[in-house]
Amino acid sequence: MSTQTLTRTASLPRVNLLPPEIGQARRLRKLQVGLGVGVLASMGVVAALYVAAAGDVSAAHNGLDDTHSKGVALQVETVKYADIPAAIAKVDAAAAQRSQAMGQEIRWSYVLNDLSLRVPSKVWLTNITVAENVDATVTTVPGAYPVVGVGTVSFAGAAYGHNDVATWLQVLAGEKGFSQAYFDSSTEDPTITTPSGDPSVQFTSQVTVTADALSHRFDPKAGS
Amino acid sequence: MNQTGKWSLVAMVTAVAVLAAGWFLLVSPKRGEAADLRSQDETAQAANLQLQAKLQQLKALAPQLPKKQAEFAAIRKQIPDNPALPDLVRQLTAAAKKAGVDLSTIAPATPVVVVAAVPTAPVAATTTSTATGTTGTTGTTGTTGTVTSAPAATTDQLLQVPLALTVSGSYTELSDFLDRLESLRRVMLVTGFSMGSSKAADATAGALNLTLNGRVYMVHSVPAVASPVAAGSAAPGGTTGAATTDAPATAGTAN
Repeated sequence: MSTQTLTRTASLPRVNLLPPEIGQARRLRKLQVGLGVGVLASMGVVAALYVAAAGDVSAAHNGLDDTHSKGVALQVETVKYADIPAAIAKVDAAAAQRSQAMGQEIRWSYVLNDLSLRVPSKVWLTNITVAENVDATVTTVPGAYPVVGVGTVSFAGAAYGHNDVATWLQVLAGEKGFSQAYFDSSTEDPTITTPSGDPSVQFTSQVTVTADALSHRFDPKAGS
Repeated sequence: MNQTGKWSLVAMVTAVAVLAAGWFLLVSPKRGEAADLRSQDETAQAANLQLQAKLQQLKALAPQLPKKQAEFAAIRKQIPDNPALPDLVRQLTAAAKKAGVDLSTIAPATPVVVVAAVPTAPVAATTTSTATGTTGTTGTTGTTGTVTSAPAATTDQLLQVPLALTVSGSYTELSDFLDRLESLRRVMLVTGFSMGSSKAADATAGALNLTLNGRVYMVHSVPAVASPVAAGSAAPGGTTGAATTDAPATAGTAN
C-alpha cells in the first residue's frame, strides 16, 4: 500500500505556477541585496584602510614624542657638561700663549756650565756677552753662509798663544747650538805673561747661536 | 540594457566611487601625515644621535677637567694676570740668595703688548651647536702691535715686562743664578747678558758682574671689541718701575 503511493507521487509532473514577473522581481531583489552588500564591503575596506592609517599616524606621533623627550633629556644632560670645552679651550689658549712667550728660550745656565767644562786649560775668559734676537722671525736658508741664528755670543779672553785661541774656536764649534765660531782679533799682550814668561794673547771671538740651542720646554705637547 | 545590468553598473560605479573617495579623502591624507611624522622622527633621531655623540665626547672630556684646571692654575702662576711685581721681586731675591750672588739691581720696564690677542672661549650656553673653543695663537713672538678684535666675550692679551738685573758673584754662582732664573715659578726669558769683571781687584778675587736683560710675562683680559692698545701702554693692576737697591754695576773687560 505505501509502496504504491510513493511511486505514484514521484511520477507526478512538476508545474511552476509562479508568474514570471514575480520570479524576475525576486532575482532582481537578490541582485540588489548582493550589490548593496558589495558597496557596503567597499565602504568597509575604506574604513579598514582608514583605521590602519590612523593607527600609523598615532604610532608615528608616539614615536616622535618619544624621540623629542629623549632629545630634551639629552640636552638637559649636555648642559651639565657645557662648560668643559670652554674650560679646556681656555687652558689650551693659555698654554699656547706660554709657548709663544717662551718659544725662544735658551737655557743659558746649561751653556755656561758646558763652557766652564770645555774651556781649554790655556785659555781664560774675561767677558761673555749674549744677545738673543727673540723678537724677529729667523728665516734660515739651507746652505747659506753665514748662518742666520737666533743670537750671538761674544767672548773676550786671554790665552797662552794663538794656537790656544784656535783650540778655543774648535771648542766653540763643538758646542751644541753654536755655529760659525769666529774671532775678531788675537793680539799679543806683553803686559800679561804666561808662566813660562812668554807674552799672552788677548782675543775676542764670537759665535752664532742656532735654533738647536732652543730649549723647547714650553712647546705644545702632542696630544695635550 | 535590462534592469539587472543597470543595477550592476550603478553598484559597480558606486563601489568604485566609494573606494576612490575613501582613498583620496580619508586614507591617503592620513598616510601622508604618518609619513611626515615618521620623517620628522627620523630627523629628530638623527639630531639625538649627534647630541648623544657630543654628550659622550663631553663625558670623555670630563675626567680631564680637574687636570686641565690645575694646568691652568700653574700657567697663571707662570704668566699671571697682573704684573705681580712684589712676588717677582721676592722670587728673584730668593734665587739670588740661594745662588749666593749679590743682586744689586732689579729694573722692570712698563709692560708692552707682545702678540695679537688670543680669544678665550665664552661659556657655552647652547647644547645643540658644536662646542666652541679657541684656536692656537699665531703670530710672532715679541712683536709689539695692536689688539685684533675677535668674536669672543674677552680676549687675553699677552704682555711682556722687560726686566734688567745686575748681579755679582763668581762664575759658578752666576751660572747657578741663571739656572734658578730659568726655574722660577714665573717664567722668565733671558734675552741677553754680559758677564765680566769691572775691576782688576774683582778679577783677582774671581768676582764677576752680570748685567742681564730678560722679560717676564703677564696677561690682561680685554673686551673683544676694545679699541687697540698701543704698544708701551701701562698695564692696569699694578705699578711698574725700577726697584733698584744699589747702583747697577757696569760689566767690562778685565785685564
